[in-house]
Amino acid sequence: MDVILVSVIILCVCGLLAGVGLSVASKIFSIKVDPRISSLEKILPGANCSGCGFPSCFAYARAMVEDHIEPNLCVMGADRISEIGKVLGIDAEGKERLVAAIRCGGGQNSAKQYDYSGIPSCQAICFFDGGDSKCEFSCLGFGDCVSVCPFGAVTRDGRNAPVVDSQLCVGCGRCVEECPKDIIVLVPESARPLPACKTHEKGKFVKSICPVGCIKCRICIRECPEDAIAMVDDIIQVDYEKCTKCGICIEKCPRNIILDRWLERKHP
Amino acid sequence: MEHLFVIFITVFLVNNFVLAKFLGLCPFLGVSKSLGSAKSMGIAVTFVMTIASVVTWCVNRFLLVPYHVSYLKTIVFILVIATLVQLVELFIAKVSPTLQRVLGIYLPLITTNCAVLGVCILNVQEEFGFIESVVHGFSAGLGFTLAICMMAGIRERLEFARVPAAMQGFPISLIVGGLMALSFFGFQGFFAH
Repeated sequence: MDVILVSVIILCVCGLLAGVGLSVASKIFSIKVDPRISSLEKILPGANCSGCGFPSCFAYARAMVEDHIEPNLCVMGADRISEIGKVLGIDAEGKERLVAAIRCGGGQNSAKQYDYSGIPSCQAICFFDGGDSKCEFSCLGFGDCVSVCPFGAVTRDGRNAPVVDSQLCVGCGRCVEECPKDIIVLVPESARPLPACKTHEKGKFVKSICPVGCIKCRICIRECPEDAIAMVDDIIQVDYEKCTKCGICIEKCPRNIILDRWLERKHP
Repeated sequence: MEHLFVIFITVFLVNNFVLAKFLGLCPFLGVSKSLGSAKSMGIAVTFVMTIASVVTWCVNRFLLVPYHVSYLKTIVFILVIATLVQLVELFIAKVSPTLQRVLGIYLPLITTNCAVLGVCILNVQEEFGFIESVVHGFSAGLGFTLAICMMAGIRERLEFARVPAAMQGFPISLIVGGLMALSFFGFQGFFAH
């Protein structure tokens, strides 16, 4: 009987001490958290993509409240940014949303230089002569960009080429960093023409290895009424600030490599 | 001093808590998907094990032994460790937000980890003194960190490997854990005189 009594008493005392100790400690060590931080955290997407330069959405929310960091660093929509402005009591304007775009229409179209059966990853295949494609600037189709996307915005179509869902993409740029071929770029959401080839090679060579490669004919540059297209480092670049979205370059391109993002058109 | 070193090596390698005593397998498999989180988990476990060794040694020496209730040690230690971890968490949140961010969610997760309880019970069973208990707890935590970090490193590589569908995920991880335990078995008899 004694044994049971002593055990029960000792345990009760321990439990009581622990309980009282904890409740006292929670009073002593209580920290005040600014309620604005948690309401900002609810507005932020919560994906911790670190596109804003802070390690997590919570860190960014705290920086906005405590250090008065600008509220438009997050790449989410303008409506949400004005919501943040309301919480903070300041005027906040969103920038135009950037979304990822794949600057390669070839991918599986371009000729192969060998058969690969190793680790299914773009990074891995790049160790072997820069990939199995004869084109040095071709999408390798293993979808490193798909697995790195924290928002599930990149998927692969039937030909293993990555497809970006502009609705889901927030432009954090993870895929841009991940792509070993450097063929993913961020473009403004409303942008229309997308030159889907990044090859530096000469036209003749491109023609021999890929049906949808840029052959440097410069027709788009000549036809553009706004001078918005230029050849920068041997690649067609569209200046989206000058572009009026007329779509002439899309029509004129003889190889159909300038895609119309408004149509989200697929390659032949 | 030599004695303490022997304790360190014994718990760190020879009798590694995860790979030889098979304690704390839950976080070992649960939090070893990426090296970063494995490292945080390891630090948190080391931290808690060291502090738990200190506190439970005191509880045992000044409460359980004088009242002749050593048979209560398991349940009392569980209570003490759980309370202690909560207390430490509150304290850290107040004093060092940086440390809190490093330990993160892992600190409360290990409140009832069997490896932590195992350290404390072994301290009593082996009749360790105060310093010995602390060294024992600390090195057990380091051993856990070593095991979980190795596991995480291997599992990150496994992501790229072509594993048969039936073996993907936990099955292959368990096999990897088994092979690691087997190789750590090679340390057995290191200090047998």
